[in-house]
Amino acid sequence: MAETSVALRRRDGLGLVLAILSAVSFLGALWMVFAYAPREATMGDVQRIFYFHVASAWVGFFGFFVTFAAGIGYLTRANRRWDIVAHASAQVGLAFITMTVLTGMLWAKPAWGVYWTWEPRLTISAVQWLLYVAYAMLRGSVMSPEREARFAAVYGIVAFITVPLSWFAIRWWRTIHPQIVSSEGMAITPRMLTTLFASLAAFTLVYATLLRQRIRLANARDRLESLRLMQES
Amino acid sequence: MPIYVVIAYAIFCAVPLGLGIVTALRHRQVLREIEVLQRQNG
Repeated sequence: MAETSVALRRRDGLGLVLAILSAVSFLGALWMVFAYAPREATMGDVQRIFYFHVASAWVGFFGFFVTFAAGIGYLTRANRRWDIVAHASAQVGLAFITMTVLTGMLWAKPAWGVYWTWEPRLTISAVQWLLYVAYAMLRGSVMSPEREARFAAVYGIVAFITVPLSWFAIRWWRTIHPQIVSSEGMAITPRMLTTLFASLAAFTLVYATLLRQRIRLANARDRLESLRLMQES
Repeated sequence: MPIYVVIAYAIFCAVPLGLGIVTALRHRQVLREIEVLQRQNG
C-alpha cells in the first residue's frame, strides 16, 4: 500500500516536460499573434482573435474525438482506463470549446454587429456545447460505475456527430461564418498561416498536458475510492 | 488594441491556466487523503 502512495506521489517527469513545452510554445504563439502576424487590412486588430480561436476549436474537436475513440475502446474492452481517458478528454475539450464560443462572440460583435446569430455553424456549436455540458453533468448521476462508464461511452460516441457537422456546416449550408480552409487552399498570407500553425501546435501541447493531469487525478481518485471501500469493509 | 481582443486573449490565457492549477491542487488534496487513509489502515 505504501508503494502505491509512493507511485502516485512520484514526480511526473513527462508531465513536467509537457508543461514546460506547453508554456514556452504558448508564449511563443502569443508573441507571433501580436508581433509577427501582420495587421489584417479589412478587420484590423480584431482579426487577431482568429489564431487562438481556431486553435481552441481544433483542440476541442480533437478532445471530443479522443472521447469518441476511447468510448469505442471501452465498449469493446470494458477496461476502466478507456473510460478515464474518455472522461478526461471530454472535460478538457469542453473547456476549449467554451473558449471558442466565447471568443467567437467577442469577434462577432465588431465583425457582424451582434454577439450571436442563429446561423448554421453557431447553432451547431451551441448544441455541441450543451451536449458536452450534459455529458459532464450526467457522469456523476448514475450510481453503478460500470453502467455510468457504458452510458458515457455511448453518449460520447453519439455526441461526436456534432464535430463533423460543425466542420461541414460552413460548406454545406449558406452561412456568414468565415471559411478559411477551402478546396482552393487557405485564404490567408504566409505569415498568418505560420502564426496559425504555431497556435495549433501550442494548443495541442496544452491539451496533452491538461489531459495527462486529468488522467492522473482520476487514477488517484480511483485509488482513494478503493481505500475508502477497504476501510468501510 | 481593441477591448474585444484584450478580453479574448485574457480568456485564452486564464482558462487553460486555471484548469491546470485547479487540477493540480485537487490532485494534491486527493494524494493527501490517500496518505491519511493509508496511515489509518496501517
